[in-house]
Amino acid sequence: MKKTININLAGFVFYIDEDAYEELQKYLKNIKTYLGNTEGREEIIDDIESRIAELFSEKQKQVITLIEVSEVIEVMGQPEDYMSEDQIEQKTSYKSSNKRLYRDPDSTVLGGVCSGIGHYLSIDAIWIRLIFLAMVWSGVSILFYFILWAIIPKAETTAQKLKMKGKAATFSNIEDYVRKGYENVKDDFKNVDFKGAGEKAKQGASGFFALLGELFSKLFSALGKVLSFIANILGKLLGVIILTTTVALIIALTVSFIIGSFIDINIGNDLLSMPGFEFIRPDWGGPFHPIWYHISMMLTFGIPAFSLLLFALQLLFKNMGRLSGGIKIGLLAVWMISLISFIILSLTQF
Amino acid sequence: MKVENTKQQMRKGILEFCILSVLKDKDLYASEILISLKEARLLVVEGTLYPLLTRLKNADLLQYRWEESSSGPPRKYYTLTEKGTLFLEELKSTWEELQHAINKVTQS
Repeated sequence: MKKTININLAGFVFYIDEDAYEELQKYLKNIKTYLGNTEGREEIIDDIESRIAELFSEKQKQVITLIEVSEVIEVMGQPEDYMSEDQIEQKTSYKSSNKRLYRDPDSTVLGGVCSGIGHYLSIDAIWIRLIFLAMVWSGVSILFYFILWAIIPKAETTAQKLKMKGKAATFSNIEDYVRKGYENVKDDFKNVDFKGAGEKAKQGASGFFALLGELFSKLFSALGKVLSFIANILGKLLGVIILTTTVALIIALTVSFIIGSFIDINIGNDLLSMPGFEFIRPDWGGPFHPIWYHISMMLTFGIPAFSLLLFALQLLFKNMGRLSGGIKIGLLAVWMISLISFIILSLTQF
Repeated sequence: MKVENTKQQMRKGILEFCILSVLKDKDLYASEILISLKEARLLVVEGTLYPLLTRLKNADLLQYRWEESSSGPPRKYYTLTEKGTLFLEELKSTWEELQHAINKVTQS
């Protein structure tokens, strides 16, 4: 004995077994997901439903069971079959990533960094270039530009170029991304098959532990997906925070380096006796640091900041290149030397 | 590179042409279009047809009218628009060119 449900397909009423109903609903929902934002999606679904209604009524059965549903699905085809070639292409490129950061080799001034960033943020590259130019005075943007040039890959294949120009990282898309992730997770929870497991339990008590195990493994895999989803979002958030902090830190370091060494170099010279600078000299009690002091300080703090910056970029953009081992060791060595000299210079100064 | 994929791509490319050709002489509804396409083994599953029909309709190549049916839900009878007829003519000449070209290439 089975419970049946009354459904209305294209204006026709069918009696359908509960399990068959669930199967059919899942099928239609999958098609909907596959069609995505295809123009006229609702209409296509209506057409499909009315074709299914036609197939059901041809069968002339009192009750639609799982057998009829799977026959219909066989005739209609899997959800993937509903997409045209170009849609599949869009879908797969969309799936693997919404948009990726690449350097644009087609519109470069130097390395295509700015135009690549422009594509990523969906703004004209000229604005990015202006920002970089405006920051040239501090030296940061030059350094930064070359870092980016080194680690952002060039878009070489058509697929990469498409991804580079793909969907903008606008707020609505971010919302879309979050919503999709949430829906996937929700579905996974729904699909934890309590009922199927229950039926199996009825078939034999011996399977009780197997059933328990199955239930737990399904629950845990759903939980795992939730966690990885949350971790993904937290990772991006962390990336943004680290990125902004390190950029600010590097700017501050560079500015203090320039100003500090300017004062220290010129304090002993007569340059500062120029009118307007007298106020510094008479009461300037502070120690005069050698240029090495500034350089070692800059490097001691700058290299960790730089590594953090790279880490943040890697968190944010999956396809970011990595520094080679040699460069890493070199950086570490330079950092150790500057740390030691910074400590020694600081101690001898005070 | 799977031969199945390539075969499917070839088939999908000419599917629109075939749908228009089938509708050239008489108006049909989806299931009748399906029958002729299935007979010609152009379609494996029916699902592929519906998005295509909607796309052709949205491109103003097809239009439809509703007709009641005694045995099932009301049917959408599709018919070629003027634009669709012109479109079909063009596809046909391209197809003939292609056929000629392929014959030439494969037989030489």
